[in-house]
Amino acid sequence: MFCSGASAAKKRYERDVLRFMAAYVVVILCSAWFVKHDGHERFYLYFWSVIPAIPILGVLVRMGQYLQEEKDEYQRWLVMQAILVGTALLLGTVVVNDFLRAFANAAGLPPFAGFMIFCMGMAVMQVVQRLRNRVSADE
Amino acid sequence: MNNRLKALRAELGLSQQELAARLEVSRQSVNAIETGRYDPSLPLAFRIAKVFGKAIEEIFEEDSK
Repeated sequence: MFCSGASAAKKRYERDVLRFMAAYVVVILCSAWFVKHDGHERFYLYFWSVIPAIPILGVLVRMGQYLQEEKDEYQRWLVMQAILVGTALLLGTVVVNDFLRAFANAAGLPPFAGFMIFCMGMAVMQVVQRLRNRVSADE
Repeated sequence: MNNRLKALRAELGLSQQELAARLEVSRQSVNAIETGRYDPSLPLAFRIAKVFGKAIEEIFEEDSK
């Protein structure tokens, strides 16, 4: 069985991330609508392009706050490990892609790929951590 | 680092969950320390030592090569 290890800080963090993601869905739909119907002026085009990034930046800021709030050092260490794996996967992909672009005229990463790669790295590490914790959960 | 956490916990008849509650950490943390997957910080090691009424070096010891 998995250990139940969600602290109060982690529950608050997960709740806030869900709120940010819900806000993101609303904002991205609004942005798409406004760009389609009112995206002729440069200012508004920039405005509605930047707005959807705010909830995503909110998630990153909340991640940092969570690391400060979390009193359980092992839980904090697990999250930091996942963040490091996500960051390493993102930077590794960017470096390889940069060389491919520089020497082989390959295409750049598609839009939004960066955050997705970071999240994917974090998710893979969290699955590995859960499997490790499951194996040794029995007392 | 090796530790005697599991043996000491058994002596006191505490479950991982009960020890975790006394230390104000998750059960996952106690499990990770017991199985050697995580070495606690000095403040947590002091809290563990206090729960068992022992010195830190009586609970934790360096890996012997």
